[in-house]
Amino acid sequence: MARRGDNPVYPLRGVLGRLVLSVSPRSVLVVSDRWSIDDVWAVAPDAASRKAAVKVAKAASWPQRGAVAAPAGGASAVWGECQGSGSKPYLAAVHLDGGTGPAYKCSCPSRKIPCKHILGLLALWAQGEVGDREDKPSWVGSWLDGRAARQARAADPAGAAPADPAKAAATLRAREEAVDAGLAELRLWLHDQVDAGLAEVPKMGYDHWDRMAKRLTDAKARGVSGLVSRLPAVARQENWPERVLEHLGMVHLLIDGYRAGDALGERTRGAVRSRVGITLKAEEVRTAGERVADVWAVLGRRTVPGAEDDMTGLRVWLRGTETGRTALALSFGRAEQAPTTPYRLGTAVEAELSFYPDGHRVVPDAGAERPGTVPRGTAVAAALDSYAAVLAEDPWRDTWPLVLAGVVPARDDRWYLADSAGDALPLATAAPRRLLAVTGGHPATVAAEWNPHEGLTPIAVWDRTGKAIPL
Amino acid sequence: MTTSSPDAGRTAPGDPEPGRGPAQGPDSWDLLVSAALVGTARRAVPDTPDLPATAETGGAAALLDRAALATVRRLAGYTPARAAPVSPAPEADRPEAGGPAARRLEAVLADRSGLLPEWLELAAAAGLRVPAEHLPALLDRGAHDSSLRPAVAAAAGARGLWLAGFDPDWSYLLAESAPEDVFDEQAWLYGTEGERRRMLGALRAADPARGRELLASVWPDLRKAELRRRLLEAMGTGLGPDDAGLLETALDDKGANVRGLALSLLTRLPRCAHADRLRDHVRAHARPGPEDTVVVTPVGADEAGLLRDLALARPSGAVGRRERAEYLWTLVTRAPLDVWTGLLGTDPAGVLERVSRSDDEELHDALINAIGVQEDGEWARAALGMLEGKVTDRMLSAARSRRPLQLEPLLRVLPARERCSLAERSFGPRTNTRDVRSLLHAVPGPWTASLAHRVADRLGGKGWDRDHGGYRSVCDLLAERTPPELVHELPQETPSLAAVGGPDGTGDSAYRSLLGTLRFRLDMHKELA
Repeated sequence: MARRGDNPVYPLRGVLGRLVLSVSPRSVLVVSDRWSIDDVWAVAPDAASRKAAVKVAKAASWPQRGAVAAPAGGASAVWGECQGSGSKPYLAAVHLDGGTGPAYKCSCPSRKIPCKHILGLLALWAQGEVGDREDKPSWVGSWLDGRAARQARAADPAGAAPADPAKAAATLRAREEAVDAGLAELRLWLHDQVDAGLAEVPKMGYDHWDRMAKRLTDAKARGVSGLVSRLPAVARQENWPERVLEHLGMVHLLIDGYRAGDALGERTRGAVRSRVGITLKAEEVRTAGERVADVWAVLGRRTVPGAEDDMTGLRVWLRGTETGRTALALSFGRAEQAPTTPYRLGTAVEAELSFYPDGHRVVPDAGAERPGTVPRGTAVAAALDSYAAVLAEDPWRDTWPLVLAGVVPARDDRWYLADSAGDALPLATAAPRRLLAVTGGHPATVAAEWNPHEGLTPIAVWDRTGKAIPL
Repeated sequence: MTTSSPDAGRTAPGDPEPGRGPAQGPDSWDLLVSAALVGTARRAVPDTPDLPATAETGGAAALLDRAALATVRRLAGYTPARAAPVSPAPEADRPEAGGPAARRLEAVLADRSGLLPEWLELAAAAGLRVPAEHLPALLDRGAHDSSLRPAVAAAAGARGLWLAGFDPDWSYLLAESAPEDVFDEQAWLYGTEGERRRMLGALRAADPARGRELLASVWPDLRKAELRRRLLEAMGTGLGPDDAGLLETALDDKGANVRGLALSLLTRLPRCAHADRLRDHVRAHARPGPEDTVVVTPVGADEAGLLRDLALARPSGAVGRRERAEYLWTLVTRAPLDVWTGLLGTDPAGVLERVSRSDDEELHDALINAIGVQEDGEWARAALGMLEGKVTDRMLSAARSRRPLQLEPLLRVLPARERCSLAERSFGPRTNTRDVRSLLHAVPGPWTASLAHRVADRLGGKGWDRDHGGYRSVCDLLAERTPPELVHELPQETPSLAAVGGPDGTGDSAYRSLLGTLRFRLDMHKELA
């Protein structure tokens, strides 16, 4: 997750005050050896940045530049002052061996991470145009020192813990009490709806639902609040009586699940709490969550609208090559800034990942990148069984990755993927143009998100040479 | 918190058909839905013997519990459908452009669309096809820009052709000829219009006579003028004197577009009867005048034979000056140029001189146009020879009199080396920047090293401080038309930056972007060598 600013973005205290700190673990290059130019372009947020960076990557534009040598050889950081059109140079620096992937800092106002100056500087460095330098400007030194201090704090669990554990526990208790009260009220409200009958549901205005949703937000149960505010949309669907009853039934089940508390299995309990809206910080998960070491194959990614209007979410699915464990790395970005991830399709990442209590979501920590291979897929029937098994732990889960082996695009009234036994699952999308182009209609391994209501959304395909292609 | 086993009655949610699972009593889902609609205050919760028991047995809570059970059972018991796989694409005909070339194409598609034709041309020349994953984006480009279609068809390969069948927006590709096309009788007889066009093109490339006979045999039965035009287009491949007969038939077609196309094709056959008739029409309307001039008499509306030979519609009403001018223009454009040398007893330069002396601008412009259309090098040389050293003067006077100066078609007819050397001699350090820009616009690429250096020198000269747009424009031309290996020979710093400057260093960024584009193209050429 890209994080903006230990400093606010636009304070009016000169260039140093405008320095924006950003940590982007998009690249998993933790080694500090000089990057290749391809490594540089791999961290570019989009093609436009890359193009802009090419223009900036001129030695003449960087009168001051240098690399900070790492103790073990290679470079620890690269910095430079870019002479732009304005009177003051832009100050750009990259911390290479920070442990969680490279971190970037630039004083330009761009919201892209990394911006074109960072990319241009890295490109120069990759081409051998930035030499090691003993001295460095103070803005570089203070930034690197600050990062080192933060890393030391993060590495020490005691340091990361809140200053007052008793106070934190009290906060959590207060929150749970608020949620309890909110859900009790929701349960009664649901019963009232069903007692009165659902026939009038489509005619009810947004107010009817929003009032309840707002009360749940006030009760700090944002997750359930979101489920309630989706009801008007559900009531507009075809077959709305069935859809509304399904939805209400599942919300009711969630309430009862929450009230069951410790009686549930650990993963189910984790799924229930996160769906109700009791969230955990990544740091808490790193400290207390289950940790699984494996070589995690990247199955694919999908960008989805975030919970709020101006948010974008990114789901990256991983599968452990040893454990077979499925992991979901979520990241979010504000609308104008694409969410970033350290995982690239076509690779596997050797790492010890920290799992949230639901047993699937992980903290997107970087690891050592390995070449990827074609993941092992199954036929349609076995893939559906895997989804059913997941529902047994988390009956609310409506998105699950399937890796289907030897499937071909098929067409009837709509598009499908069909396996060699003739079993077919419908696609949620129109003609799968890229999948058709890559496979030519020949059997291939395809990774797809499965949603039983909407169908399959293919996210990656492996071509005949074993190359992974995003869809 | 329980679910039925995965095999229990797989049913797509909302699917009224029972699943393939073991037989069960009536699905209680429908009963639950109708009870929920009416409301549990008025109707008892139905029994659900097919579901596990719930803790609550009555009221809203029981209904919701049972609904949740039924819902999860449906999700977990999803039944796969059956659907017919698409018929697979034929085996790849050519190797795929891989690695750096593929990434280059991605960059071109993302933000250097102008270089797409060059990438496609290089790939086709290297015998490579477009990487499959980029075919959809490429086919979309062709859908929006018809000028790209031949290049797209040549580089898309058999996979691209197969893919085009899945999206109506891509159907244009089915009609484009590609080098590896092979005539297939079934597709010719029973294919779509596009496929028939493509098959005829393939046959014309292999056996022009058979292609002509095939088209002639179906010609009378082709009802739609648009189909006739598209099939006639295929005659452009392998065009020869034996095709004149069929083209004459098409010249009498009901469709104006068919007639126009037939005339264009006939213009490429200067040794046929049609060409001879056009020569006669010229002789009937032009003769040497006094004092080494040329006199032209207007074409009348009653000259049915002439109008027919020029694919012009018979006028319905009175014929004015405009129509007469159009008739003459078409006649001069289409009649073989050699008629003029014979008629006036002089060489092309002599003809052009006499026409200039006659003070007949329309005739002069029509002749220049004819040289471009008929792509006659000797005439182009004569026409440009008259301008030599005065090209920019001529452009100015043409601009003042608002007449188009057909410089570009004339230059296009000449070999690259010759036209570049001519262009080079036409401007100097003092030539007005706007004239330099218009002149260079008219010189098609690829430019020679010598011309490129001359242009770079001029960029270092005077006058650009009042013409930033011109500076940028000339930089763009240089980037596009110069052989990319010249990037190392051009000045690496912006020429005359001090003089240029401009808002935000416009000149500087234009020149840098020129060098960037050349480097980009150089890499592209290396990757596809």
